[in-house]
Amino acid sequence: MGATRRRTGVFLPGLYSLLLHAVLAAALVLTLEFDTSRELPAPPPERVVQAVSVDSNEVEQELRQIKEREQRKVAEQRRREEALKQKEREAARKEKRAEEEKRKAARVRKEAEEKRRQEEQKQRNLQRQRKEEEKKLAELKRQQKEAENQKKLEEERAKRAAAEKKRAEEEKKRVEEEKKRIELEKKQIEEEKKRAEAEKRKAAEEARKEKERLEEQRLEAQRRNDEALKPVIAGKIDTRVRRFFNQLNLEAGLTCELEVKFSPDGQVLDVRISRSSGSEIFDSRAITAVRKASPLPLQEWGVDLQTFKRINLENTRFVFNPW
Amino acid sequence: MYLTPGNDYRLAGLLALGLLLTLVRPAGAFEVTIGGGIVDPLPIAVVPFERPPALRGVPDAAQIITEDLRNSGIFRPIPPVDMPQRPSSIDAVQFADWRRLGVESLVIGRLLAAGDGGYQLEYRLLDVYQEEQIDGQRLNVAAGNIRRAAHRFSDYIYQRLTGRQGIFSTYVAFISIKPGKGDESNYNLEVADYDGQNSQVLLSSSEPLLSPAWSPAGDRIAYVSFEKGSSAIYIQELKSGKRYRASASPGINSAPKFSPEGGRLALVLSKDNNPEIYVLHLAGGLLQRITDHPAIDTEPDWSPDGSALVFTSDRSGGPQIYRALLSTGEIRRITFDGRYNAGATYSPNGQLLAMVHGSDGGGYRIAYRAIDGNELRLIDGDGLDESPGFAPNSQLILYAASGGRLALAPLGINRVTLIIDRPGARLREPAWGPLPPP
Repeated sequence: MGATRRRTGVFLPGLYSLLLHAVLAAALVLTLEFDTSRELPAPPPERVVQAVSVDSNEVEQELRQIKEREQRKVAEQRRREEALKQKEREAARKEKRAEEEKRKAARVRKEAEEKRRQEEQKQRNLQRQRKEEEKKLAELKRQQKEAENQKKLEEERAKRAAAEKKRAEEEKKRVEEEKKRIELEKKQIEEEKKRAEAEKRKAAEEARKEKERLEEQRLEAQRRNDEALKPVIAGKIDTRVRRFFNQLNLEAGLTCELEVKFSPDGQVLDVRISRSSGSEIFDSRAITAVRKASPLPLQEWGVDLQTFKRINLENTRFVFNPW
Repeated sequence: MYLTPGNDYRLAGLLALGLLLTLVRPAGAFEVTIGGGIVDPLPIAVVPFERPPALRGVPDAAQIITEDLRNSGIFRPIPPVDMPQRPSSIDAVQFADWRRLGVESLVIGRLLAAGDGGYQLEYRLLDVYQEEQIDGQRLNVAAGNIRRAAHRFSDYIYQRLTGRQGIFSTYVAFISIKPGKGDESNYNLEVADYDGQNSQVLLSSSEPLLSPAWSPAGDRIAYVSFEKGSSAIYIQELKSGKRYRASASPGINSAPKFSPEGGRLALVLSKDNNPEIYVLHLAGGLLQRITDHPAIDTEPDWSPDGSALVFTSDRSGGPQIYRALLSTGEIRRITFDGRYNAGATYSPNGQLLAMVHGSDGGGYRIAYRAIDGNELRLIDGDGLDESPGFAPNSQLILYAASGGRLALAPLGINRVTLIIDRPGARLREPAWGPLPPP
C-alpha cells in the first residue's frame, strides 16, 4: 500500500512535468514553425543519394528525371507557397502578435511558473535538504543511538561478563565447596561404610563363632553318637564275619590284622594284610571271611553315607583274634 | 603352670609319640575285632579234568582228588552236578558264579596224552574270593599211575589250604582174613594206598598174621606170625620182600613197635610166664625189660620223642593205659576215665593219645585226648571198634570197625568219612605208614 502511495506521489509530479514539457514542446513547435517558414533549409541531396543506394546510368537518369520533376514541383510549390506565404505572413503577423501576446502571457505565466517551479524546486531542495539533514540527523541519531546501544551493549556485556565471571567464580567457589562438601560427605560415607563394615564383620565374626560353636556342639553330639554307634556296628560286623571265618584246623593262638576298604553300600573293595599271623592259611581264611561277608548290610544297620564316612568305615581294621 | 626343661622334653616326647602313632595308624580307622568263627569243612570244587576223547577210559584225577579231600574231613567238595561251569583254564572261570555257591577254592585241571604212552596231568588251585591261582603243578605220569598222581595233587591242595602235610600219598598196612577150606582161614599182610586202593599182598599165610607195624622210614614192616605154630616177630623189607625173625621167645611174642629212630623194637614177651613190655635193640639183640608186674602188660607204643612208652595193663583191675618213662623206669597210670582203655597210640606230633575206650553203656569205641588231658573225645563208631592208628599228619585216625571193615575218621569232626572193606574178607589191625621221604 505504501508502495502504491509512493508511486502515486511520483506519478503526480511526473504528470506535472509531462504537461509542462508538452506545453514547452508545443511552444517550441510553434517557434520552430516560425523558424521553418523563415529559413527552411533545402534537404541535402547527398542525403537522398545516400538514402537510396542504386547504381549506374539508370539511376542517373532516374535521378535527373526526379530532379527535373522535383524542380518543377518545387517551382510550383514555391509559387503556391509564395501565395500562401503571403497570406500566411499576413495571418502570421496577426498570429504573431496574438502569439506574442500569448507568448508574453505565457512567458509571464512561464516565468511565474518557473518562479513557482523554482520555488517549488527550492522548496523541494530545501525539503530534500531538510530531509537529508533529518536523515543525516536521524542517521546521526541512529549512529549515536547505535553507539549508545553498542556502548550499552558493551557495558552490559562487560557487566554480564563481570557477572558471568563473578558467577563463574562463585560457581567455581561453590563447586569447590560442593566438592569439598562431597569429599567430606564421601569421607563420612566412607567412614560410615567402614564402620558399618566393621560392624558387619564383627557381627559376621560373631555369627560365625556362634555357628562354629553350634557346629562344634553338633559335632560333639555327633561324635558322642558315633562313639556310641561304633561298638554296635563293630559288634554287628563281628557277628556277620564270624559266620564266614572258618577256624577248622587253624593253629590256636594266632591273630592277624587286615586293612579293609568298604564302599558305602558295604561292598568289600580291597583287603590288605597289615599284620600277618605268620600263617598263610590263617591270613587267607581271614581274608575269605571278610570277602564272604561282603556286602555288609549297612543300610539295614542304619549306617548312612554320612555316618559311614564319619566313623571311617571306609578304612576298617579287622583284628582276627578268635581265641 | 611352669614347665621345667624336663617337662618340656617329656611334652615334646609325648607329641612326637603322638605324631608317630598317627603316622603309623591311619587316623580313626574303624576297628573291628573278630572274636570267633565257625568250624566247618571248607567248600571246594574240583572240576572234572579236561581230557581228550581218547583218554576217556583213564580214571578222572578230579574224582580221586575230590574223594581225598572229602575223606580228610576238612573239605566239602560240591558234586559235579551242582557246578555252574566246568572250566579247564583260569580265563574261563566265572568266579562270581562259584562265589554264589559259597565255594572258596576251585581246582581245575587237564589230562593230556604224552608221547611214551603215559600222560601229562596238571591242576590249578584257584582262590575264588581273591580270583587268583594260588597253586598248580604239572606231572608226567606213567600209565596206570593216575591214582598216585592224583593223590599227590590232593596232598598239595590239602597242604596249601590247611597248612598241614597231606597224607593221601601214604600207605596203610593191614591184615586181611579170608575164610579157607573148612575151619581154615587165609591170612594176608597187605599194603595199600591210604584209602585201601592199590592193595598189594606182602605175605600170605594159613596161620594167623597179627600186628603189623611200620618202621619210621617206611621201608620195613614188623609183624607177628604164627606160621611156625607159635608166635614170632618178623621184620620184612617192603622192596625186596626179605624178612627175618626178630623175636621168637618161648610164649608170647607180640605187639611189635619200631622206636622213633628205628633202631629198637618195643614188644611183649611172656618168656617169664607173664606178658611184660620189653625193648629189643635190633642191632645186637639186647633185650631191655620195661615192666615187671604180675598183671598183663601189653600193646606198647613209643612216644614220638622216644622218651616213654605207653602200654595197656590190667594191674588195676580192668585194662587201663600206663606210661613208662624210659630214663627212670617210672610207671604211671594215665587213664582213669571209664572201665576199659586199651591199645593206646601216640599221635605222630606227640600231642594226642588215641585208645579203645569201653564205656559203661557198653561197647568199645575209639577215643582220643590230649596226652596229659582228661577230656576224652569219642569217634562216632559202631561199638566194636579197635586198633586205632593216627595218620602221619596226626589229623585222622584209621581203625578197625565191626564187620571186618576199616574206618577213617578225621579228628575234629569225629565221624567216619571212609570205610574200607573187601567183599569176602575181613580187614583187621590197620597200621598207617609214615610220610614218604621228601
